[in-house]
Amino acid sequence: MRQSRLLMRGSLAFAGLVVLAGSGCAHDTAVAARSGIATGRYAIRNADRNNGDQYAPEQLAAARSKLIEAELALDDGYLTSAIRLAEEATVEAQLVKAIAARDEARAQRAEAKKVKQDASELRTMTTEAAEERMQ
Amino acid sequence: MRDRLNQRTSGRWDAICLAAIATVVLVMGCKSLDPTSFELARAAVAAAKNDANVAQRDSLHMEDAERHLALAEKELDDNGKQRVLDHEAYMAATHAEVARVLGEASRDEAAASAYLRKARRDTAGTGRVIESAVLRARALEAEQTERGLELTLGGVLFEFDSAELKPEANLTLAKVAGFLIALEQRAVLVEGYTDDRGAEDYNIDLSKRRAESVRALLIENQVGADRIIADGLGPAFPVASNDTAVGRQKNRRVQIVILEPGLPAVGARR
Repeated sequence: MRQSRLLMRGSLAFAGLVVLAGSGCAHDTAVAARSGIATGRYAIRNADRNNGDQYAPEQLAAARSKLIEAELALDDGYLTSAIRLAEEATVEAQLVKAIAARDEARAQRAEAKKVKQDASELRTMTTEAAEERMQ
Repeated sequence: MRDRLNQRTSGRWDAICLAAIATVVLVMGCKSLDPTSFELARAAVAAAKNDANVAQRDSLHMEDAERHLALAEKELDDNGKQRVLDHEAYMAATHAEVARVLGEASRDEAAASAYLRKARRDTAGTGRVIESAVLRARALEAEQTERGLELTLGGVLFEFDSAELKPEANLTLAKVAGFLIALEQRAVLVEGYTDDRGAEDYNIDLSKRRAESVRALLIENQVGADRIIADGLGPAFPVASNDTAVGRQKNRRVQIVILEPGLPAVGARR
């Protein structure tokens, strides 16, 4: 009888510990979800600021709606879903920013090539004109 | 009787349990994860790793790609959840794509600055061609040195032992002034030199006064005063031997240095 009471107390304590540990975990997960969403929001703002809307508007919109999904999942308590969605939204926004940087670099390259061609043409023309005048 | 009934019932339960376990095992065994997303992600990561442009930009996205790929592989090996596998595979593939796109960006940036470097070189070359054409048109002799374009004005500019310019110097300096005005971006250093006859202190002072006279006349000819610095160096830096009259004549001179664009006059003083 005494033994069984002891056992009961022991198991109650254990159950309490489990609950505590579980809630601690849930708390950590909620924090992770919130910080994941904050990271995603930052990445989207960053992509937007770097002309992502101009170079990859559809992909930026997709990242935005994924972040909203993450926020909804967090509100409904689906914490791991929220973390995954936020993670995906983040990397999608990073890709948008990278695409904007790549397309801008591409345009700059084309422009620089034109400038170079103009400069070399001008040099040739000037040299020829100077030589002609010297003769 | 009751025992036997119990036995029979428990025997039936055993059978049911066994069947249930067998079904679960069978279902789990059959329903292994679809590895398609993982295979695609692995190919994407490998392609990004082999991409020559990727190595030049940040490796952070490649690290993330590999980390997520490992997580996807673990999920696949553990026969975990399809949703988790697909998520990790998607993360790996997208990070690899970011790395690849950034690699392309840095390649194009490098190409753009290479073009601009060549353009600047050609523009500078054009500038030199124009300068020398103008110089020839104005009948001025100039030499390109590392400080810039150096014009040497011979000793006939001044009376003996005087800092006063001869009237003939006016025309020469007017030509120089026109040239300096055309090169309005560039600072100018006017340096006076003497031969080695006489006291050095006196010579330095004389060369300084002569340089100041040249500077004053250039300013009179509309060259900006803040562009020009005058300096007297006396017998230093001779361009010919002081043992002959011809050599000494060459050493008595004023040099006008038109500095390279962006070079301040103060920094180029000898």
